[in-house]
This record gives sequence, C-alpha cells and structure tokens, in this order.
Amino acid sequence: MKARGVPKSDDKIPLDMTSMIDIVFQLLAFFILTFKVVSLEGDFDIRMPQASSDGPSIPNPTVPMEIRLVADGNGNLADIRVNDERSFTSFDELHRHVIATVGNEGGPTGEGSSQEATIDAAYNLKWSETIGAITAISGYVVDDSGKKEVVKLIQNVKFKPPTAPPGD
Amino acid sequence: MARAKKNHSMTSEVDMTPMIDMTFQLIAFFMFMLNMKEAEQNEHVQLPDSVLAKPPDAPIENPITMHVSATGDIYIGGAKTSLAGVGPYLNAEANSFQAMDVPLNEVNVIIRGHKDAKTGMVQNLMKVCLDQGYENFLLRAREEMK
Repeated sequence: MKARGVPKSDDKIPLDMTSMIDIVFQLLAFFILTFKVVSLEGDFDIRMPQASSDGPSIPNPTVPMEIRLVADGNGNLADIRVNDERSFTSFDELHRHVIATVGNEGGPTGEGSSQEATIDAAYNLKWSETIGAITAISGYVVDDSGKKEVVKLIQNVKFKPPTAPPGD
Repeated sequence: MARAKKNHSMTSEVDMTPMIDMTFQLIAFFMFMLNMKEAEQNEHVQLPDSVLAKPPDAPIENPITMHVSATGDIYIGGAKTSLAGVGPYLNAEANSFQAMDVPLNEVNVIIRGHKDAKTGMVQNLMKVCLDQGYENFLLRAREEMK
C-alpha cells in the first residue's frame, strides 16, 4: 500500500514570504529614517580639587603658567597674554611658546609635563576660542607611520574664577 | 507551420533570495550604526573642534552631562533649565551618588558647550558644580580631522 501524505523528495513546499518581506522593509525604513551621522567626540579632563580635600596635597614645584585670553566686542580672540609678560596673537604662537617652555618631555606615550596652567578667559570670549587655547597648551598630534599619536604637553589645566559679565 | 503556444496558466517565479540577503545586510548596518548615546546629544549645541578630542577608550564612570547653548541656556537630559535650577539638580544627584557610596570626587561632569557660547557662562556652570562639591570636569569637543 502506498503511504499517504508523505511528500515526494522533489516536491517544493512553497513558503509565503510576503509578510516577512513587509516587516523587513518596515524595519529598514525605520533605521534609514532614524539614522543620524554623529561625529566623534572627545573630552578635555579638567580637575579643580577643592582646597578642603582630604589627604595631603603634593606641592607642585613649578610656577603655574597663567594664560589670559582677551576678547574683542564680538567675543573673538583679541590677545593672548602669558604671565602678563608675553603677548601672542594666535594659538600657534602660544603652542610654540608652550613647547619651548615645557619641552617634549611627555612624548607620545608620556603623561605630559608637570607644568600647571591657569586660564583666565574674558567673560564674553567664545567657548571655541577657550577650547582652542586648551588644545594649544595640552598637546599636539603626530603622524607615526599612519597611526596618529598625541604628544601631551600641559595636562594640569585649571580655570580662574569667572569674571563678571561686561556692563555689570 | 504550427508553433508551440505558451501555457498561460504557468506562473513565473522571481528569486527573492539576493534581495532579502541585501535587505538584511542593510538592516544589520543601520542597527550597528544606531547611536545609542542619544541622551548625550542636544540639537542646540554645536561643539567646538579640536584635534586632541579623541573618543575615550573606556566608558566614562559616574557621568553627569550638561549642555550649554549659544544663548547660555542650560539643558540637562533634554530639559531646559536655568543656572539657578542646576544647583537643586546637582544636589539630588549628589544624594543619589552618596546612596551608592560614590564620592563626588569620582563623579565626572561632562560639559558640552556650544562653540559660540560665552566662556563666562560655562565657567558660571562650573562654579555651581564646584559649590556642590563636584570637581572633575570633562569639556567635550568634536574631533577635528586634519
């Protein structure tokens, strides 16, 4: 007697793909519509420990470098003064001064100089200019056979207390 | 001469396999590229560029993210607040961290300032944080490709 209900080996079982394709296209549409290109972001580490912190503080033998950022009426950078002695007009000049002062002792793998820097920025100075100053004193990027390495300079950066806004 | 006629009842089958393969690959791509850190973004903030701004190697521990817009408005978790409103928020966060035995000097305050924001406004925000006992700040910038 012939077995009933047993399909032949060359029989194809048709699968209805319609619903799966519908869902897959809906998922695809969702991801495409919510896709947003996000640029990479990084952080500058600023530590401002309180004077009343517990534990002994390690005295820093170096004299802090005070960097004063002067702004014009539009909030753009007008002048950079270091320790009220030197005056620079660009971050490149400040960067070269920092390298000449602290040297490259940190190196690509080092922890940077023990030099401390205090930024005294004008109230209305644009934040991008302040970040530019921190970039100029914190280090620079070298291209080591295709791999980018950061040479650290001054890592101990602090801010002076904010000044009152102009007109107050 | 008689020619063979096509059978009109025959259905043509389209091979859907390559299309489904491609579609699944597209879905996988968009899923992997999906930004899960949406909470750290804010439409009012356009970060300044810096060549030294590299993404951190490890996740930042105990973060508090605050945004400063170009007009000086402060956004915390998408909600707009004023400088006066930051203090109570930080106080509540401090209580939460203390409940978890996390000292405030291990909390990282991430400040995402708009590139055109006034430095004094960002400093005022930092001062409020300092007054509440927070002392570690991460000033965020966008990686500048040279």
